[in-house]
Amino acid sequence: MKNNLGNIKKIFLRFYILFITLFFASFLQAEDFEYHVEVDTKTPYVKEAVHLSFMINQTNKEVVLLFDFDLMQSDDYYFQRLDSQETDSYHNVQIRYDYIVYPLKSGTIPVQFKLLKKITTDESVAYSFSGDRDNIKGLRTKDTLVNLPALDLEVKLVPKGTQLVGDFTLDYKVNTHKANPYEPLLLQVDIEGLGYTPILEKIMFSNSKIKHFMEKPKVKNITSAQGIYSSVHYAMAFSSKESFTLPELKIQAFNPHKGKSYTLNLPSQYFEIKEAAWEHLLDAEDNPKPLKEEWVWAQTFLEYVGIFLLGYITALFWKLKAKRVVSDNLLKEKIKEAKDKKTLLRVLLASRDKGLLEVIEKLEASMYGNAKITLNKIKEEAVKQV
Amino acid sequence: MNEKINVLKKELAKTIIGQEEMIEGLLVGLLCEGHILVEGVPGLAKTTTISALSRALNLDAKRIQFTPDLLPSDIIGAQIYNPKDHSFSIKKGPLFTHLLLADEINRAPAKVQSALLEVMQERQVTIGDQSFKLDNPFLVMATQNPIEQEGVYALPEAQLDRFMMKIIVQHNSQEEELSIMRKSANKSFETIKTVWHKEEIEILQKELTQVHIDIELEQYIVQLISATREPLHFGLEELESTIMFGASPRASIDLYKASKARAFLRGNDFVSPVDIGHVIHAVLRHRIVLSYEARANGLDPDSIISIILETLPIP
Repeated sequence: MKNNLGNIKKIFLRFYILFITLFFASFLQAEDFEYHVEVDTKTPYVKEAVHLSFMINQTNKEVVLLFDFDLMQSDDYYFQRLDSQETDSYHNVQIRYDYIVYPLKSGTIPVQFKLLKKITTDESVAYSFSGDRDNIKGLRTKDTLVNLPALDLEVKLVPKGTQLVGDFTLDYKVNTHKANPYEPLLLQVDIEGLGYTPILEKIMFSNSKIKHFMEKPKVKNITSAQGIYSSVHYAMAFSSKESFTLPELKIQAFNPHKGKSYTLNLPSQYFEIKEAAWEHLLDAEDNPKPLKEEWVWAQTFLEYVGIFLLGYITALFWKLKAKRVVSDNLLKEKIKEAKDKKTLLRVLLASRDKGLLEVIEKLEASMYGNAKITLNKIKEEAVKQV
Repeated sequence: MNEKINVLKKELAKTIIGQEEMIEGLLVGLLCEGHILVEGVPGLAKTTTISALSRALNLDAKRIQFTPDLLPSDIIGAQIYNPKDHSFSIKKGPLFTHLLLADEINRAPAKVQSALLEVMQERQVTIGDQSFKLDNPFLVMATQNPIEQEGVYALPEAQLDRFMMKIIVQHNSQEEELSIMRKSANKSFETIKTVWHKEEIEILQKELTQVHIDIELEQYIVQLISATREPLHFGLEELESTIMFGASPRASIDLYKASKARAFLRGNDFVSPVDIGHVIHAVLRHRIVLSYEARANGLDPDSIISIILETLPIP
């Protein structure tokens, strides 16, 4: 009878924890509005989902009220907003925010709120919607940060050694248990269920004979009022020269609804590696063949140098040729080579040498006047003047 | 005649030291009713020369500084409205003078250059519906600065052709510069006196027509000009690829007149090949357009003219 009574008490307690939603209502009155906070439990386990609702009702109907609400970030808990519902009325706002909160530590955890109250007018709201194409104004509000008391959660510890919290199942898949040396062997592990996302820091099999490769886990979450339904996919590969055995993997988990611990198992796996004919696998000769000494660059370089030198020499040649036209020596040669006075006059006139003016006049006088002077003498005088 | 020329040269030498080529070019232009384009760096007595020449010849002289914002009406003149009697009066521009120094002509836009060059050719200015004949003599000495090429409007070849001669003014010799320096510092430049009169210039212009030029020399002038257009025809294969455009018929006329003027200034009553040889560079250098190849090879019009002069036989 005593035992029966004890069992009844335990069943009643569990029933109370699991099925009765704890209604925590703080009917608190603030200026212009009132708010209510509801949680389904105030005494969760570490990493157990807590459903939190925050409701706002506008009490001052004279003003237009707008609100910005969120939970404050903390290392003590993790949260996600599930939903928010708001009436369209500007003078009678009713808002409901729903969150899922996971406490990450045991003991008293304060969940803090951040609420910004915005007061504005109907004109400002109307203008922010219609506005003026050439004179745009944002919605002008008078903002007030409302200080709200924190909601304390009394968080209970989970049994020692617990790696996952929630109701999870483990599934695995191996592509083959027989392989050639160093051929990759694939192992896929899927953990899914309702609870705190089952990301393990690492799933490693310590064995010095094998090489272990692992991808970053792929996580899929579906959030609901009951918590987060998670699916985590671990993909890994092994490679080894010889046969080996992966030891059994045991993951300790705790179901907070049932208040029980359980184990997720991945049984031991034996992989058989075939013997390799190493003599056929090794190359006897290099392929591709080793590179020969390449001298094409030197040939190209010499070609460019040759082209540059040819260009340079040509330019130099033309420059010298152009200079020769006006050089004094050339003029002297031309004067000496002149066969008659007319040719000499042409050479002297073409030279444009002011110093030769006198000689030109003498030559002119001897050609078209009465002056007498020999060609050789006038040449001598001209050469002296150059 | 020779004496008159010498008197003028002496008078000019009171303030102009050296620069014989520029003075001779101006006198040739004055006698032949041509216009002179002068190229030289600043400070080579271009304005002083015009000023001295005007005083020595008792002529009006004006200077226009060509700038990018200059308008044609700024140089030729404009009709001015008189609000008192509601009438328009003519305000003549600085073109109405005898000697005009168009300083840095390539700084003005094409419309202003065209206005000036048209007047140079026609010797007549039209303002509104009235035309005015310019006084004789009318000589334009336009200058170009060879250093600065930024923000200039280069004269097109067709307009350059209207200048009878292009004189390149060089720096004075060291002795000449020493003399300029001393005279300028001591303010010992003598005052220029009038030695010729306007009427005498007209007489000299008529006398110039009497200077004889042999028919062979006339043909020689035509050959020289033709050689710039068809160098191959005169055995100048080396110039075939260097000349893009040769000299125009205006060049033949101007070389003919300039040769006669040069002979006249030397006191001769006949033209010799030496006279042609002396003026040919000034007459042709702005009329020959060189090819890109010639410019790349460092050739200039003067060297092309020298080759032609040296190759073509003298009569």
